Amino acid sequence: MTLKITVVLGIHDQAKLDRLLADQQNPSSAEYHHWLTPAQFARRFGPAPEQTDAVVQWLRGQGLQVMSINRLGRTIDAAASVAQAEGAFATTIVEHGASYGNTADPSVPAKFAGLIVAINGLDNMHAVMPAGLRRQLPATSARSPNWLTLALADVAHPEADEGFASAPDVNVGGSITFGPFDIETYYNETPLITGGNSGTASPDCVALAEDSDYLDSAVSLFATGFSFPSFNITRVLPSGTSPGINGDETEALLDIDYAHATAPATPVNVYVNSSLYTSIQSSITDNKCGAISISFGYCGASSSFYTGLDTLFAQAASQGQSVFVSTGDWGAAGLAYNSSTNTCAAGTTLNPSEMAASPHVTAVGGTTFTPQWDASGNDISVVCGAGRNRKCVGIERRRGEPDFPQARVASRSRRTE
Amino acid sequence: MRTAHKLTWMAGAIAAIAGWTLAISAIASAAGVGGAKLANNHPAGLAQLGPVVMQIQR
Repeated sequence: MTLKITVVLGIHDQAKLDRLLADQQNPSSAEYHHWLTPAQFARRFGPAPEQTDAVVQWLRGQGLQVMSINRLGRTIDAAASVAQAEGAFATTIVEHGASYGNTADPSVPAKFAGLIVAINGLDNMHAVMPAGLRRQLPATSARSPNWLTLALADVAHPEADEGFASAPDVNVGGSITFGPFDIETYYNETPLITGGNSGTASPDCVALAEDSDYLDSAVSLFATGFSFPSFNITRVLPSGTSPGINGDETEALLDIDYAHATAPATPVNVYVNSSLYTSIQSSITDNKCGAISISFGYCGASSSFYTGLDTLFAQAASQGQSVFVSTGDWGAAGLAYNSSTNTCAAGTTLNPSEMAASPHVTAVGGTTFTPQWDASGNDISVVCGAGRNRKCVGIERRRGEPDFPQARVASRSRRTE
Repeated sequence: MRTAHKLTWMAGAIAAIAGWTLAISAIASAAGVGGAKLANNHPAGLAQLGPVVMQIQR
């Protein structure tokens, strides 16, 4: 068996970084909204090149095959046999069924203390799970034949059908489910769109971190089906090759489609790698997009794994990238690792979403809409006020509250909220 | 027959544990003591799997 090891290097001068992050959000500071580039971050807070080289040299000396070095993202990928990994990190790896893992914390030479913050890949007892809720809704009565036309009219003239704020929903395979216009209604976005604010345009973008590729035609069908503008979408493959389409494609399509539906004018960059960690890392070292959306949750990972991930989120914040992490719909029980299936499952005890708990990200709670149908099949669970500035349910900034923390987009005249 | 099978399994388990212990000793001496431990860098779920008697295929 060959293990794919990722050595995660830390950042230095944490206090100085914390101070910078605070100053970047302080309007009275000279550092206010002065974002760093990935190269600047690496120079100020990353390991020195010779430190990284020393770790690489040591790994090679232990017999590991160094595959790649990511200096902007502070990781070294290497391949190792189990015996090589055990020897290099002074630990023991055992297996139980399909699971394997190191029985004790790994060690590294004392000179690398503080420099190496995590060794990933010594075990497979962790998993990642999409946050999208998969639920079949019961079929309801047939809809008007021209319901899609009515839907488009509803968006164009929101005041025309007061009381049917979220009509219509989408009939997929006989089941009524939510469509993009329902989301716009629920989040009271329609006044923004009709007012000409459809999101920031290029070169800004929304980055999506995914672990599955997706079908281009499915994306196109969504745009044409709902008469949205064509997608301005860029597929980014950090490793140079596609991981292919797997069971998480649904999450990728959900993220792509609804990022576009929410901000039709904003380009979408999709970072796709078999490792979600690499996708997240790439969206940050690429530094193209002002917002990064992660709709996944990890389970079973050791806390050092999150330590490494958190340094990436801190880097994103210093670059003015707003990171949004979905907490999912699993409630306080969150996700727990199921060793028999090597997957995540809803837990039975408190399990916070570790990734969403990072102080450098904005946690986005799961939302479950409960439609209520009228005799015509319209969802009447949301009733709005009158006029163009009607108020529906949704997330709104209350008076006195700051903008989204660490939001680069906040410095621009048009915002996507 | 069942007893014989059980004894064989137990013997195998004991042998594996002994081998594992020897392997740990060998690793500790080869890598040297005094390195820096990376805290909380092993799967917490491993302890919940019950007795682990198998060394991984190398």
